Order: sequence, then structure tokens, then C-alpha cells
Amino acid sequence: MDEISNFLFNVLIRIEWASIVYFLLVNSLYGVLLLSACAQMRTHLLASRGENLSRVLGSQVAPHISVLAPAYEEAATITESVRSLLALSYPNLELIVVNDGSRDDTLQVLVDQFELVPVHPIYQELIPSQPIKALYRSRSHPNLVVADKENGGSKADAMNAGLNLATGDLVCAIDADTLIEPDALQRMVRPFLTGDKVIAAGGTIRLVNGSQVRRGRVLTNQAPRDPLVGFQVIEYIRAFLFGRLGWNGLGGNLIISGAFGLFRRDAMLRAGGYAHDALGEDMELIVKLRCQMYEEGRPHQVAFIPDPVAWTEAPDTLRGLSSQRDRWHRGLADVIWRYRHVFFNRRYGAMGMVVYPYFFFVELLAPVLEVVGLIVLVVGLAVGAVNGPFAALFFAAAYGYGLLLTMLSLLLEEIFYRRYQSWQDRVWLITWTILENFGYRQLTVLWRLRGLVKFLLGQKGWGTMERRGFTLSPKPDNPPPL
Amino acid sequence: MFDTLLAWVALVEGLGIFVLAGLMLIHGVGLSLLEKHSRRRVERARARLLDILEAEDVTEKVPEKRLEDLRALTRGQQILLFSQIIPNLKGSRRNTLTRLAGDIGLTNRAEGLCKSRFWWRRLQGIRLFTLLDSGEDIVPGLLKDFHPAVRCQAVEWAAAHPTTPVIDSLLKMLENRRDPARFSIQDSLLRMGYPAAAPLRAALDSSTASNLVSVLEVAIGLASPQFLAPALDLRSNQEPAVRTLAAKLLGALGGGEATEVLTGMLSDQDPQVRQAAAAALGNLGHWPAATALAGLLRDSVWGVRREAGLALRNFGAPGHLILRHSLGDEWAPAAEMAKQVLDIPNQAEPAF
Repeated sequence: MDEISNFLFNVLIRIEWASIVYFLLVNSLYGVLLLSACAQMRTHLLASRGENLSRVLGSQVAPHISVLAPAYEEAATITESVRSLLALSYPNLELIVVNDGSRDDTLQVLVDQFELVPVHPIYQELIPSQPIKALYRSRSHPNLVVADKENGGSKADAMNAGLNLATGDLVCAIDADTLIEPDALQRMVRPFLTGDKVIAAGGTIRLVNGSQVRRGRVLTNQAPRDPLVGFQVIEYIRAFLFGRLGWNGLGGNLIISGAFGLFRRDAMLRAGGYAHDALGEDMELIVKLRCQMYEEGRPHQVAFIPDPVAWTEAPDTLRGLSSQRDRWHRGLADVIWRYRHVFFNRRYGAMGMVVYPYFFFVELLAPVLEVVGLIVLVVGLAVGAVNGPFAALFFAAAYGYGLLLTMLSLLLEEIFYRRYQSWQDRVWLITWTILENFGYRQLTVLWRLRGLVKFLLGQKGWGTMERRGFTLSPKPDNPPPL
Repeated sequence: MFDTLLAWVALVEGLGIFVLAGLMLIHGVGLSLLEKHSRRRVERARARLLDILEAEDVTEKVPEKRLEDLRALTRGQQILLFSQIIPNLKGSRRNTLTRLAGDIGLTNRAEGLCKSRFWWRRLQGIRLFTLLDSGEDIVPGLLKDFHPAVRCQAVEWAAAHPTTPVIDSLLKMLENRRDPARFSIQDSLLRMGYPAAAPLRAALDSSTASNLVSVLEVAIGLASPQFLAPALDLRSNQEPAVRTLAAKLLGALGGGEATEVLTGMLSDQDPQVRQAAAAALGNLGHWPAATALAGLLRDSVWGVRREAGLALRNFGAPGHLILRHSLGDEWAPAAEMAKQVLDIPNQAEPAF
């Protein structure tokens, strides 16, 4: 009996040590990511200061961009979204909204608001998708095309249908509920103009909840007072200003957000478009594109550019958020599993040796290791295998480090962008940064763990998100500038 | 030992968090106060500047005293102010503003920046020269700068300075198809317009395949009659990409010789060339090519069939007659394309 308890005792201690080593490795990597993000941000700002963005507007050689916006039951937000897209400042732009068999009034709202008339399609189905029932063009906005297709059960199917219709050199993939800042495309197109290696580029996503929106434009940005949304704002700032920007200099990104990304159309077509059965179709596409480029021996780049901004609505209920995080994690697991051959494979360069292992060990397994660590800690404390004060200090140091990194991301945001103008906003952001460690982070760990378990059990449902609609946000006292 | 180490780590982290939070608040509040203060100064200087520009005789030298408000601004504020006003001015007032920029030291500042060993300063220097529309002595040398961002900005500056040496430098730069400044070069040559036509013609005559595609892309945009002879020669170039662009250029130029050559290009081996020739003939409305285009409705490549169909539609009655005849084609894809084109409503433009 003593032998068994000694054995278990030793196992607990080893697991604890393994947790400490994992913690040190991961946090060192975070440190490197932050340094890389700072260097990238500095270069970006030095290069873009005083830049004449409007030059591309009057250019005859500006690449033609097709914006693809799939819409499924978005009647509440579709008008504002399409208006925001039509207000984009870019010279050579077509907007393709794909109504993916919505059962609500999405199509009728579009027809009424944008004076749609049926047109005859001549296009080639290069990528399979559910059939398109009808095509419409707007009388009031000739560059707006709406495709009404049968529901394909996934965003990927709608995007592929849009991709077949697109005629641009570049394709901008967005969610129909995304609001894009007017100059975002001018900023986003820059890397494509200066290098033919760039196959995809992504911009920053921010949360619109609580902000004032009118005619598809975000007028003022306010730090949310609702803790659940506030925590997500902090997460987004951390993920984009520190995570994605940091990866730019360390082997490139594996994710371009499905809410706002710009791609070379020929590269997308060569890769066969989006995978219909992928849960994380945005990540799947990037990994597929990058794998293909490595396999063909072609130099390539997936760039994250911090200044083009798109706004999206975050779930403001625990149920909606848990469903979203669960789905995201299943999507991550799905992609990691599909492309497992990349893992530590030298053929795939930095992606295979650094980025992919990071996504496996840190992003995918983090919830498992965190939960195991916590269980072992509790058991260890109960049986005396772990020293109580040491554990407390370790936790303080671990959470303190995370907090420090988040605060640094906030400072980056403050110094470089200053999106939150009032001191009250800053106080709220600092508050949410501190509070997210007490309960919220643990909840997200559980949701992600649930996602992983569901993936292992083969569950592929999408869940639903209720849209509040942008027009419900408070209206400004003064009319906005036109 | 670990306990002590961890305690120190936690303490340092705590202090770091406290300092960062403080910095964030101080930065925000401090910057707001500073902005409020500087806004007043900038507004005062703006009002003074507009007064000077509104004066009747803008050719006279402005008294030093009237420049005091401008001089009181920081360099950044001066640049911001000028960048807001200059793009809205033309002619003598713009010249006055450029002269004022020299008087308050902005031109010297730009020159100093252009000579810096740091790329970002050289970049700012050229941006300032681009804004002030000067720098003829120093910027052309930066077209060969090692840093791509600096080169791109120098090329952007060049658009407003279409001298022969500058255009030659740009055309030389086009030889490198991977130059990050390629878009800027093409854009600048197009913005130069007529002055760039003769050097481009010379480049089309003498270019190797390395920059021919880039030069042709610009030539299509300019569509100067000078390009007709080289475009006719390039129809038999070995590179399909060059032939495709030659067809597009001929389509942009038009005329009897061009349409004759384009009709011949409908039987090119490369589908992209056939497609470009069909589109060009359609845009030119050259209905005598209808019979040749009818043959392309049976082309194995979808894109060629589509362009042929749309070109026939553009020809009006003669094209429609051929399209209706093709409805009975025994090869289904040809009949299908004819049907799709004929189904396009008359009043509407084709959707795609």
C-alpha cells in the first residue's frame, strides 16, 4: 500500500514539475511573441506615418477586389452591413452578398433596401457549391450583386458560391454582420501592391457592442460596461495586437479571421476554395494555402496588418459565448487533425517546425493541461505532495505574467491607436483586464475543453448566435458627417 | 529557494502591472491635455496661413512677423497643417505655400531627412518633398534606395516630375518583376500621361521579356497611338502573356490594322490570347469578325466561349443571328453558351 501511495505521490510531483516547465516554455514564447509584435508595430508605424492612402483611389492599376459577404438569417443587421460595405473607399470594387437560403427576410430586406433587379448569370462553377437560384443587381448601387442560393449548411459553401461569381484579382472574405471601416481596404491592399509573395492578409477585428453605429459606420467607440463583453474586448486586443502581429515576424499566421480577410483569388481557386466540411473554414483555408505553397516550393506570405479595422458583434450571453468558444475549439482541433502531416515536418518550414507545434501544444492542448494541472494541484495539496505557499506563489506568478502581457497589449493599443478616448474607458479596460482572471478565463477553459471532447466524439453542430442588430445601439446627439 | 524566487517574480509582476496601468492612464490624460493645448496653436497658425494666402499679392515675400505663429509650431504640427491645406490649392497660391514651407525651414528639414542613414527618415523626407512638390535635386537619387518603402515613395514623388531621366529610371526599375515598387512605378507612369508615352514606345521597341509585360500594362492604360506599331509586332511574341497584353493594347487602340491583327489572333494557340482578342473585338464592335468569333463558340475553353458569345452580342443583329444559329449546334457547350448569352436581358448589362 505504501508503495502505491509513494508511486502516486511521485507521479503527482512529476506532473506538477511538468506543468511548471510547460508554463515556463509557453510564457517564454509569449514573451518572444510580444517582442516580435512590438518590432512589427514599430516598422509598420514608421512606414505608414504620413502615407497618402488615397493614392490607390485614383489608380488605374489598383487591383480589382470582390468582397464576398455570406448571409444566413441576418435580416436584423444586413442593411447596416451592406451600407458599410458600399461605403468602402476603393476604386475597383464589387460586392457579392450570398444569401445562403435564409428562412427569414434577409433577401426581401436586401431587395427593398437596395432596389435589386434579377440579372442573368454567366459564370463558371469552378468550385462545387449548392446551386444558385437567382442573381440580382442593385439599381442604386451597380457594384452590388446578390446571389440567392440553396442552403449549403456551412459558411464555406456560401463563400465558394461567391468565389465562383467573383471577378476580382483579390477576394475579400467577410461575415455579413461585419462593419468595415471605410479606408480598411486601402490599408489592407498595401502588402499585395508591394509584394507578389503575399497570398492572404488579415486586419484587426474589434467588438462593436456598446458603440454608436449609424449608416453602417461606427461613430464612437466605447469600452463596454458589461463584463462579459468587456472581457472579450480584452481578449480581442490581446489576440490581434500581440498574437497575430507577433506571428508576422515568427513564421507567419495560421489564421486570418473569417470576419475580414483579403486573398489572391487565383491562389484560392487553385486550393479548391473553402472546405465544406471544415468547422474552422477560415483557418483551414490558410493552412491549405500555405501547405500548397510549401509543396510547390513557392515563396509566400500571410500578412497581418494591424490598422485596417473591422467591427463585429460579440455574444453577450454566457450561452452564446460558450457555444462560440466550443465551436472555435472544435474548428481548431479539426484543422490540426486534418493537417497533422505538417507537425514538425521540415518540408513546411517555419510553419511545420514552429507555428503548427505552437497551435497544437499551446492553443489546442492548453485547456487540457490547465485542467489537469488544477486537478493535480488540488489532489497534491490534499495529500501533501505540493507545498501550499509554493502553489499560491506559483499561481500568483503565472496569472501575474498573463496580466502583465495583457497590460502591455493594452498599452500598445493606447500608444498606437487610442481608440478609447476617455479616461473612464481606460479605467474600464484596466478593470476588465484584472477581473478576467477571476472566473472568466476558467470558464473559457471549460468551454474549450468541452469543444475538444465534442470533437473527439465527432459532434459537428454549429450552434446559433442571436443577432441584436447594430441599430439598437444608442444614437448620437448630432448627425454624423456624411 | 524557489519560493523566494517566485515571490520576487510575483512582486516584480505586480509592480509592472501597476506601472503599466498608470502609464496607460497618464498617457491618455496627458496626451489629451497636450492635444488641447496644441490644437489652439495649430488653429491660430492655420488662420494666419489662410490670411496670408487670401492676400491679393501672393508673390511678395511674407514679412517675418507674420510667420511667427507658423514657426511656433513643432515640425510635426507644421507638416500636418501643410498636408491639410496643400492638396486643396493650385497655381500661385500653392506656389506661395511651397515658398512659405521653405521660409519656415520645412524644405531644409526634408533635405536633411533625405540624407539620413535611417530608412524611415529618408521616407519621411521624400513624403515631405512629395507634399511640397519640390526636391528635384535629391529625390531622383533615392529611386535606387535599398529600402523598398523609400523607393516606392520616391516613385510616387516621380509622378509629378516627369523628366526624361526620371522616366528612364522608372522603366529601368520595371525590369525587375519582383521589385516591391512595381505597382508604384506603373501607377506613376500612368499619372505622368503624355510625357511618358515616347519613352514607353522606345521601351516597347527594345524591351526584353523581363519587363515587357509591365511596360505593356502601362501602355494599355495610356493607349497612345504611338504604341500601335510595337503592338502589331508583339502579336507574334513567344510569350503568351505578352501576346495577351498586345491584344488588349490593340483593343484599346482600335483602327483597321488593329482589328485585322486581332481577328488573326482569334486562332492563337493560347486560350488567354484568344480570349483577349475576342473581348477586344467585342469592345470595338468589329462585326466583320463575327464569323471567326462564331467558331470560338466551339472552343474547348469556357472563358474563350464566354468572351466570343459576349462579343457577338455586342455586334447587334449580325451577332445575334450567329448566336441563334449556334443554338442548334450539336456540341452542347457551344449551344449552351449561345443560349446563356441570348438570355441576357436587352436592357441590362451582363452580370459577369
